[in-house]
Formats: sequence, structure tokens, C-alpha cells
Amino acid sequence: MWRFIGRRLVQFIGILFLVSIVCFSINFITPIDTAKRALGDPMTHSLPDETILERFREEKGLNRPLHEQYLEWLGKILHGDLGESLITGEPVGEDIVYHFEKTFSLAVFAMGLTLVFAIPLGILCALRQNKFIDYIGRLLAMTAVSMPGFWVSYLLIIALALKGGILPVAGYGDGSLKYMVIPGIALSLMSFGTVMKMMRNNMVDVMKEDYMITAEAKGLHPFQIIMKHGVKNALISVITLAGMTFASMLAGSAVIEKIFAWPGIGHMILSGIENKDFPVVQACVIVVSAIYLMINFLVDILYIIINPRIRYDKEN
Amino acid sequence: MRLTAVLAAAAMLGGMLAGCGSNDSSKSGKGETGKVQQNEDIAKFIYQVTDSFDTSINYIAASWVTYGVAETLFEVDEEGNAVPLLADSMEMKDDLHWTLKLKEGIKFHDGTPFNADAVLFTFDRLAATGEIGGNFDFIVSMDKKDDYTIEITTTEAYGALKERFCEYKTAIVSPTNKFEDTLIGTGPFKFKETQKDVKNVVEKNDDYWGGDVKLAGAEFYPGEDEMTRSFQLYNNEVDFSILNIPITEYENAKTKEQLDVFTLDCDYTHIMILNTTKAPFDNKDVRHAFSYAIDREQLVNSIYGNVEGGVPSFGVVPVKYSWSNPDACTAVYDREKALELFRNAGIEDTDGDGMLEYEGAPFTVTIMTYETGLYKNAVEILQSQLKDIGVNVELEITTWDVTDQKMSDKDYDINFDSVPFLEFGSPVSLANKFGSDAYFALGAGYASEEMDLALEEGSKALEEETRKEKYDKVQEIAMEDMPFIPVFEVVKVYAMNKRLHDMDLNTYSVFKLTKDTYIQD
Repeated sequence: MWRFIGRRLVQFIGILFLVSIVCFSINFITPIDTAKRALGDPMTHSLPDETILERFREEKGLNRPLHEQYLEWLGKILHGDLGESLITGEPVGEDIVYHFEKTFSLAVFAMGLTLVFAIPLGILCALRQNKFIDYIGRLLAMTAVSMPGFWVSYLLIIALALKGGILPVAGYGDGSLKYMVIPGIALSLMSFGTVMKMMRNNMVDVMKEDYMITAEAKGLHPFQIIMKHGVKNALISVITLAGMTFASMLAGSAVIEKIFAWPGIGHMILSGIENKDFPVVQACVIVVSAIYLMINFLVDILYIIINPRIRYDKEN
Repeated sequence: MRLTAVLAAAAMLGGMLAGCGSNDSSKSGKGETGKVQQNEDIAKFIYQVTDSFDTSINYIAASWVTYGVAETLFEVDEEGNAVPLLADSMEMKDDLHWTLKLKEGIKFHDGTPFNADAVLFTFDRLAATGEIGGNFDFIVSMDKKDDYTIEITTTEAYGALKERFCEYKTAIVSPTNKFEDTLIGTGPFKFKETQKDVKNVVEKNDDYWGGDVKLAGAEFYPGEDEMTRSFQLYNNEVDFSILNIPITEYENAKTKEQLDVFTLDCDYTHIMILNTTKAPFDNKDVRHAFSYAIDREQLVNSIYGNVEGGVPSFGVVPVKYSWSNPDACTAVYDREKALELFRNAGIEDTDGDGMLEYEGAPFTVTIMTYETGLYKNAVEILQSQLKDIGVNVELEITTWDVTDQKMSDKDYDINFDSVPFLEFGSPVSLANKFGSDAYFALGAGYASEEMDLALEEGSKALEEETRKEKYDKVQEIAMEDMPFIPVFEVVKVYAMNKRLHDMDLNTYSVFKLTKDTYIQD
């Protein structure tokens, strides 16, 4: 177990290092002069004098060799300094925390909805395999997966806000539940279909296993057979999927956050890209990558906890 | 069991986080219809969010002038004249010297007096940060004579000084400003609360120098998505969106009883920028041929449909401005003329297939533009119109940074863009487009001594008549040389709740929250 954890940590650091090289390179791959972008007026395309642009480049160290800039940037990251915005000059780290907590609350709510509805429905469909409810469930799953996020969002706004009049259209408001419902449902629907289908398919496979027949032969209550022996085994790969889905939500759905004016990290990344505010984009990419890797790591740990038969040894 | 506990904890955590949040500061409540209603004294707007409150470096932050927080020395009135606002007067002593007198008795929101020190503070910052959107390097110095008098020295005679002092980035700000999460100005509204990317709240300035302020306050919310903005207007969550709603919502919005729906010419003109460093665009006949080949009326009708107000552009200065020269509005549709000019340039249909050939190959041009707004729609129609005349057009949809770089490298054929030919109604901004050191002219590879001279004479002219004469000539030269082909005016659709009154909507497409704005159902 500890060897496994150690190996994963080494992988964690290695992958983050590679990500840092790639995202730092954005500055130099794109055909954009950072100084012009930061100081220019995109509306009229007017620019300050070259002397002012050059002064900006000197202050930000943009004229230094690439490897020097990278090492300085990496050193700061390792000390928790995620840099400063080119547009506002404010620390990016504080901004990320501010936006991330908004994304986190929405993601937890959306993931909660997904699990609460998708898993029971998947179980039900499996138990009623090829019956009417199974067909309806699979149809719902396919529909949820097929609909584009922005379209679903608009439909929900029309149904729940405009026609229903019970919820606000958009905005963070005071962060309370009513502002989270519509974007949360929209975000949840994006993963509902895949989680439900995987749960259903896993349950169908598990129900055919010998130990399920043995459990029944032992005279266990059907509920006990399904929940203790069936669901627990069927959930293993669903947990992995749910974990990666949650990580994806934490990275911030740019589409959902834009439509609902939700001030999350997806919105922050989008603004950074649109404004070509490279320190913001770089910091967000590093943070999001770290989150992905961390959740992947935690899911693997959870995997072992749930199913002790899984062993990670030298041979694996 | 352990799994169940984990899932339950996550759900509970989600619920707790969902329930957490600041105290409900919204004063909204549900009306009888179930639709959200609003506090009568607070107007709610959707606006363009900015991370910065620094008006001298951020063009969006400078919009706090329109939201009633900061004010400029002069402002543009409905007739397009620059009239004093914070300034009391500005008189010319001689060609190079002006005396600026400031109004007395005005205070910033924090009680700091508005005086010459504050004006100098503002302009010193502009000079230090590179003053986006145009430069003020024609100002040699601004010297304080007393607390309310400043002497301005210019490098040369500059007739447009008052107009330049209408620009939002020259809004006079308190020397006590830190620009971190607020802006301290002199306007009828002052900042009350700021929540980044969530909302900004202003309250009325009880000590406003201009008189009583009717509105108790205003709230500003982000709204990047066009459709969502429309929905929020329909649901009475906001009174007005300073950002437009989609053209496709025009008819739907008109069915909402609580909304006034209107269109506004946004002072921007869609143009085709031609790369005059590259054959055949270095040939004036070819540039004129492209202009004659465009049926602007049909294009505007296709784009705007039933939406009122679509305006084709026949000249570089929109006709609504008194500065427009009718004799220079010559960009008309004439298919035969276009073909004739192409023929003159050696571009003609040699094999009778209906498509033009140039130097033995099918005549193909690439038009680059952006995906946002109407750009893509417009170039697709242009593509169709030009194909009709025999020009094969390929489209390159990209971002403004890429077009910037390609313009700089002269690595393009045609760039479809939009520009404000007259900024704040002032013809002096034509120099930012046609002057040989201007971004657009440089990008087009255009430089004309005749044009530079006309622009210089226009900026130096102190008499209105002389300025008109010079800028008429600028327009004539522009249409003769035609580095840019004007196509149509940018018109946008807006909707405003009828309970909101006296928002300043002047002809220069400025929405201004003023002391006279009020709410009445």
C-alpha cells in the first residue's frame, strides 16, 4: 500500500512538471506580444509608445532567456506564488481561491445530484432489465448525454425560471441554494447519463455472478443481496468514473459558468484566455492539473479501501 | 457501509456548502405573478465586468463614467458638442496655450476636494501608464496656477482639446484612489459594495455637486451570455443590460409588456481592410472594384431582417454625424462598374465560367474575421455577393490577436473588422485610422502624405468651419485611396424595463446613469 502511494506521488510530481513546461510555453507558442496585449486597447487597437511597452517587458522579465523565465516562475510556484495578473497586477493565487470555492460548491451540489439520481436509477434499470423502466432509463441516459450543455441550460432556464418563476435565471447572488439549482442541474445532466448507464451495466454483470446465486441460496433477503453483494461490487468502476467526473467539474465548466454568470474557475480561465492574461492561464492550468491528479489518486485509494482484493504489487 | 457513509457525507457536504453564503442582501421578492420584483429605489443592470478600477489603463474600467461614478472635464452633448462638466471653462490664450478653469466646491466621494491637484494627478497617471486608446503627447505640460486654474501647453495648435477631455480615460479621479476594489470619483453615485465577478453596488452620492440624485442606488451584474441577458430582462431580474441582446431576440423581446426594445447605432463601422502591400490590392482600381461589388443594402437586410435601424455605410464618417461629408459617401453598389475596374486591373473571366481569373489562375481572396458578433454572418454574405461577381472567397475565422499579428506581418488579403471612425464624436480620431503611423493604416500598408497633411491641418484648425473643411478633405482622400471599404454600421438591440426613466441615451451611443435617472412603475 505504502509503496503504491509512494509510486503515485512520484508520478504526481513528474506529470505536474511536464504540465508546467507545456503551460509555461503558451507565452511563446502563441503569436502574441504580451506587452501589447496587456497595455493595448483591444477596442481601438491603440498602443502606448514603444518605450512604455519596453519598460513593461523589462519589469515583467519578458526579455530574459526562456529557461531563466521558466525557472524563476517554477521557483515561485513551489513557494506558493502563482504570479500576478498582467491586467490587474493582483496576485493570481488569491483569485484562484476566490473563484475555486464557487466552483467547488457548485460541483459538490451537481455531483450530489448525479449520484443521488443516477445510481438508484441504474440499479432499478438493472433489476428491471429489458422491461419498460429499463428502456425509459436508458433513453433518459442517452438523451442527457446527447444534449449540448448550453442547450440544456437554456431549456432549464425557460422551464424553471421564466415559465416556472421559482428560480432566478442566472448569477451567483448570495451563494445560496436557489442560485445553484439550475446551473447545478445543467452540470449534473452532463454526467448523469454516463454514470447511470455504467451503474446499470455493472449491476447487470454482477447479478450474473456465482456469488449472487450463492447469496440467494443462503436465504438472504433480496435487499441485502442487492445492496451488500451487488451494488458494492458494481460501484467499483462507477466510483472511478464519478471521481474523474467530479474532477472535471472542479476544473470548472466554462460553458455553464458563462451562461449562468457563475464566478467559478472555469470563468476565470476563460477570461484569462480571452484577455491573454498568461499568468492567470498558467496558474489555473497548474492548479486544475494538480486537482485532477489528486482526485485520481484519492479515487485509487478509495478503490483499495472498497475492494481489498485489489492489490498493487511489483507484478502489477 | 463505508461507501454509503462516504456518499452520504459528500451529499451532506454539498448541502452545507450550498446553504452557506453571505446574508441575503437581495431585496427582491416574489410578486403576485411569481416573477421576481425589485426594490423600487435600486436599479439593476448587466454590465461588462472588469477586474480593474483603474480608468487610466483599462478601457472597461473607464466605463464607470457611464455608470455615474466618475466624471470628465468635458462631456459630449446630444448635438455632439463638447460642453463643460467638471471644467468651468477652457479658453485659448494663443495657439499653444490654454487656460482651464475648474468648477469650485466639488468634492470626491471620500471628501477630498476636486481641484487642480486632482486633475494633474489624473493626467500624470495617464502619461505614466501609456494612456490607452490614443495618446496625449501633444500636451507639453499642465501647470497649476492656482487651486482651480491650470495652464495647458501643447506642441502645436490643437483644436480638439475639449473633445479629447471627454474621453472616459481622462475621468478625474481622487488622488486618494488605490484602484484596488473601488473607484473614488465625483459622480452622482459612489461605490458601496464590490464582490468580484458577482456584483458591484453603488449608492447615491448625497453630496453630489450637480444636485439631488433621484435613484437610491444601482447594482451591476455580470452577463457574458447574450441569451441569458435576454432571459434576465424577461424575468424582471434586471432593468437594463448595457450589453446588447441578440438580434434574434428582437421580435420576442417586443412581446414583453414590461420592456422597451430599441436599436442603437454603436458608433462602430464594419469595414474591409485591404492589404495594399500585396497585389492586386495595391491597385486602387481593385480596391474600388471590391467596394462597388458589395450590395450593402442587401447585406444589411439579410443580417438585420425585421430589426429596425440597420445602416449601410457609404462613407467613412456615419451620416448621423455633422462631420460627415456627403460628397465622400461614394461607396455604392455597381456591379458593372466593379467588373470594369477588375478588367482594368487584368482580372476578368477569360474562360467564360462566370469566375474571374487573375494571372492565369482563379481569382481567390481570403477574408479573415472573428467568430463573435455579426462578423461571421457578414463575411458569409460578402462571400456570396463576391462569388456572384466571380470572385472566389475563402474565409478565415480567427481571434483578434491572430488578426493583429497577421496585420502586423502583412500576411493577409482582407481583414473584416469594425472601427469607431469618430470616437466621442470627434473627427480628430480619424488620425488613429488613416494617419500613416496609425494601427489600421500600418496594417493596411497605407501611407499618404496628402492624408497626413489633411489630418494635421484638421487637428490644428481652431475655427469650426476650417476644421469641417479639412476633415471633409480627409474623407474625400480616404474614399479615393480606399485602404478600407466601409460596409455597414454596427447596430445592436437593447431592451429596457419601462420602469427605468431618464437613462441618458445620446446619439453617441453612450448609456449614462445620471442624477435624473429614476424608477417608476
